[in-house]
This record gives sequence, C-alpha cells and structure tokens, in this order.
Amino acid sequence: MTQNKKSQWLIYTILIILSVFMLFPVLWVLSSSLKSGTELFSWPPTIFPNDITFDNYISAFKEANFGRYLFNTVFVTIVATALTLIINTMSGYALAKFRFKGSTVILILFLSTLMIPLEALMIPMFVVLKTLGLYNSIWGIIIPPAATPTGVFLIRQYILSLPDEMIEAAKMDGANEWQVFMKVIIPLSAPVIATLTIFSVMWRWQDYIWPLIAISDTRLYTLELAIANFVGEYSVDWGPLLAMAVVTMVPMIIVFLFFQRFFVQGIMATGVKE
Amino acid sequence: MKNKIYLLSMVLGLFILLSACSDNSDSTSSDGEGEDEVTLDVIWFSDGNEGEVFKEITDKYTEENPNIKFNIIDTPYDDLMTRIRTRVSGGDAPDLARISGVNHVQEALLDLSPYLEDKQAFLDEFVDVAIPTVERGDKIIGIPTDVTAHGLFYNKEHFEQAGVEVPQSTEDVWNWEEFKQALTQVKENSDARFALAYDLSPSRYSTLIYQNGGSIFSDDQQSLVINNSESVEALEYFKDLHDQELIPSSIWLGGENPNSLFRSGQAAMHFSGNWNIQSYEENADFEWGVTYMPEGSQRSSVAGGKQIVGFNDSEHKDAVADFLLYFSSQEVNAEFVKESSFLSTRADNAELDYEVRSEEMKVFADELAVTSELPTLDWENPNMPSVETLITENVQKVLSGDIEPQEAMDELVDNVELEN
Repeated sequence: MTQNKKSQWLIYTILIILSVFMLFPVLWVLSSSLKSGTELFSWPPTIFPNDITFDNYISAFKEANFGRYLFNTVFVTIVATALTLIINTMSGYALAKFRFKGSTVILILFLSTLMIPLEALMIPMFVVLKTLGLYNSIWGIIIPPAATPTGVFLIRQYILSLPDEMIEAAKMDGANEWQVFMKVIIPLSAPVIATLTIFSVMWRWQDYIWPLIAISDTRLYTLELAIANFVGEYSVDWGPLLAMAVVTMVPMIIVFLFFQRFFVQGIMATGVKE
Repeated sequence: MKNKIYLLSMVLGLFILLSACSDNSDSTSSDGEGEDEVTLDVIWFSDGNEGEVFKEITDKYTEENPNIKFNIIDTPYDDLMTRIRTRVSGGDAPDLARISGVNHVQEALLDLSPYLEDKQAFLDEFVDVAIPTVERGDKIIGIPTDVTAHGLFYNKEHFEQAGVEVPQSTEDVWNWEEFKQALTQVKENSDARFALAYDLSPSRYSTLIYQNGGSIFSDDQQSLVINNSESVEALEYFKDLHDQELIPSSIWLGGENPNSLFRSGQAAMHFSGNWNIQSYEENADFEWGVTYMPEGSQRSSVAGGKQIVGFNDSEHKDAVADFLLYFSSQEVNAEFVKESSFLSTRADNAELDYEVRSEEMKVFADELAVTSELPTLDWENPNMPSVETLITENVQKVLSGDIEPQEAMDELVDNVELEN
C-alpha cells in the first residue's frame, strides 16, 4: 500500500514538473500580456507582473476593433467547418464504398493537390475567386478551402475500415442510399468526424495567408490578420499583440477540452496528425 | 437519430440565415455609392501611429472632395509585397500603396510626370536624399513621404555613471577611435551589460562604410566597389567592436533583438534610426537621448524612406494623382511627419517643431543634412535586393571568424552578377 502510494507520488511529481515545463510558454504569454510596456522589456524579466494592467486588452479591443475580428473569425470557423464536414464525409464515403471507374484516379488527383504549396497557387486562385465574385467577401475565405483533401482522405480511410456487410444489411432492410449514409455511416464515423472537426476548427482559426489574399476590407479581417498587423517594418507593438494572442487561444482551448477524447482516439485510429 | 437530422437542419438553417445577413450588408454598402463616387484602395502598413495620422488626412481630403473615399487596408509589413503582387498580377491592382522602396514593383507604378506642369520644379521641392527613391529614368513613380535617418541612441544613466560625455554639438563629434574608447569606458564603469546594440541590418551596417568614405556601388552605379580599402576598413572596425565585446555578437550571429537590449537597459547605446523614438518614448523607463554618430573620414548617415505610390492599372488614375500631389504639399506633409515623428522629405519642411522629442529629431535631421546622395543611390540600385543579403551573410562570416574581411568582400563582389 505505502509502496504504491510512494510511486504514485513520484509519478505525479514528475507529471506536474513536466506540465509546468510544457505550459510555461503559454503562461509566459498570459503573464506578459498583463504587463505594462516598460515592464515587458525590463531586465531581469519578471515572471509575474509587478502591476497587473489590462491596458493591453483595452487597447486591443478599442483601437484594433477586436470584437469585430473575433466575430468574423468565429463565423468563418463555424460555417467553414460545417461545410467541410458535409462535403468531406460525403466524398470520403463515396471514395471508400462506391466502386466506379476512375475512383482511384480521383483520389490520387485529390491527394496530389496536397503536394502543391498554396504560395504557388495563389495568383490563379485569386483570379478564380475574383471571377466568381467572391473576392473581398467573407464567403471567399469560407468556401475555397472547405473541401480539404486531407479531410477527404482521413474520412475515406476510416470508412474503408467499416465492414461492407453493414451497408448490405441496411439495404436488405430497405434503406435507401441517403438513409444508409445518415443512419449507418455517419454514426459509425463519429470519432473521425470529431477529429476532423478539431482539425478544421484549428485550420480555419489559424488560417493566415489565404485571408490575407482574399480580403481587402479591414472590417472583414480575421484575428490572425489583425494580430499580424501589429508587426511593422521596424517595430512590433508587443502589448496588444500578446493580449490578442491570449484571447485568440481561449476558444481553441475550449474546443480541445470538449473534443479531446475523440482527438486522441482519432489520431490513434488514423495515425494522421496534421 | 432524429437529433442528428435536427442538428443538420439547424446548421443548414443557420447557414442560410447568415448568408442572407451578409448579402444584405453587401448590398447596402454598394447602394450607398453614387455613380460618381470613387473609393480608393490604399494598401498601408504602420510602425507607429502613422496609420491614424494618414486616416485623419484622408478624412479631410474626403471633406473637400466628397466623391472620393478611401479604403485603407492595413497590412503586416512582411506580407506587403505578397498582397500587392497578388493583386497586381491577379488583375485587381490597388489604387495606392505605402511602400518602402519601389524596386520590387516599379513596372506596375503610375508615372506622375504627365500630371505635373513642371517636373523639375516638383522634384526640387524635395531633399536630395529623397529624390532617387522615386525617380526612374524620366518617370516619377510615387511621392517620397518621409525619410528615415540612422543615428545613435544612448542611455543617459549609464553615461552619467561612467562619467562619459557624449558629443553635445556637431563640433565635438567623436572619431571612430574616440567612439570605441567611450564604449569601452561605459561598459567597464556602468551597470550596462553591453556597450552597443547594433541592428542586424545591411543598411545599418553600411553606415560605417559611408562614414569611412567608401560605398557599395561605384559612382556610376554600374559595378560593385564594396571590396575597396575604405569599405574593408569599415568591416575591420566593425569586427573589432565585436572582438572587444563592445557589441554583443548575439545580435548579428544569434538573432537577438537589439531594441529589447536597449529598451531593457542592458545596452548603453543603440545604433539604429529615428523610427525608434516613439516606442522608446512610450516604453523606456530611463532617461535616454540621441547623439551624433562618430565620423570616420567624414560624417554620414544613411537615408531610408517611404513612398506612397499609385498604380498603372488603377481605374481612377486622375483621382490617385490628385491625392498624391495633395499629400505631398507642404502643409499636408508637415502634418503627416510631425504627428508621426518622421523626418520630412520636403526641403521646406526641414525645420519642424515636433511635439515629441523635438531635440532628438533635430540630431537626426542633422545626420541627414551631412549625408550625401550616395547612400540613397546605392540603396535604390536595382541590384540591391540580391546584394544586401550577401552583405549580411559575408559580414556574419567575418564576425564568426570564418574568413578575413578583405577576402569576404572580394568573394561578395565575385559572386554577384549585376543586371542593368
């Protein structure tokens, strides 16, 4: 009994030390965001702020129109994730379970787009966006990245592992294609859908280069764009930047806490981590 | 199972609702624009408060010209060119942009000379160091808005502690040897951990070359002369300051931020430029000042600068040209540079009283006044973008002791093929 307790203590101590170690950068950002401009650069650096000030947060919210950017980002993230899930589960299912001519070719074409960096595609994509009339509209940052090849691949691999017999049995019971998809495939794919949700939320939340190109109206800026604007040619406005970074982290932490069970499951199931 | 369908329909419902909302806002904004109304897209970046000052100026312009409105697009400096290039190549060129050097986009820029009655008279309004930043052949492809000057910040407390006096007037400027001695004394006799923080920047480095009477390109700008004895001596001096540990090598070899070193009171001096005044004013909790840079065989700074440019593919060229001329007028330029703590590009705005740190601004203005056109011509050379990377690399090699200064500069010259 005592032996057991002892080793537990040891494990917990090690875990606590490790987690402090891992959390340090995040806590450092949090503590720095509460410091005044002079204290931020004082030497030696202080771990906890001497005077806690919310000036950085106030100036981020007031001057930088932070509320607006937060709304834009949340809107883009939710709608784009919903779209991504709808499109990706459908095409993943089709590529996994329907046998038709050229299905492998389509999959390979899909995946090959992963090999080309966005920077190389930027100008053609910009032209397409402009021709479609989506340039400088919030839909321009939602729709184009919605059908991610990574997502389709992730879902396809998972659905591939579901036994065909189940689909056949559902059909024997008189289910049509739509019912098979909604009532058999979707519920069984819950873990991978949860994983993709986290990925998609993360991708959209952090997306930077595409919104930079697709948006030219500051009112439609997302948080990432707004944060980057604190960086000039010669100087960085650290105070508000850190404050914004903290507020930007919060929703991600919430999403992760909510879905973390699935997150780990999903990584184990697919072996894919971004 | 029913829950799932509810959820899906709710998501879809939300989707439709939201898209309806956003359509509404789109149409109201386009309804507001009458037929003659013009909105100029301005791609902008800020280091300090100049964005707000610019906004005030555009608001005033709109009051006088109600049909002209501005859409100011704040952009992080690092992605400025990405944004401009994508829009220009994608067939949606902006109308105006604030840039730092026209070299990367000059083909796309609007020539202002057709809009000027007397081109030479227009150019003559500006200080010498600003003219090469916008003159390309017989074209004028933008207006210089503000100039930057390199200069020397110092921590008054450290210098008092060490009992070292900084030059108070242009008469008693240090020479290089005296400068080195002053740095040594401050380092030894004060709390400063380092004597001098020196920006990791080829442009800041080149100040030493010009102070020693050297240059990067030849007078006709056709060949590289950075391996001349004057320029190599500058590099030897720079290496010596590092070897004596007066400049911490963590900056040039380790990427440490020189601003933080000075701002946190760890470095007694900072070799940088006037753009730091605002942030030091707000964020340094010690007394600081600006003094004259030391002279080699001559005094020299390096003038940098920003321009506002128009674009060839803009649909509103007349409005663009009109605004540019308005913005470069004496009165408006004075307002812009004074409130942003910049140095003016206009000869007739050379002596302005600044609200913030007027004395310090005067030192920077004086550094510019003794600087020839040569540094600006060098830095506006179309080959500079490739050369400046090599300067940084070769100086770093020398500082880390891999190769000798003369050898490094010879190698640089051999490795560059100039295009004209």
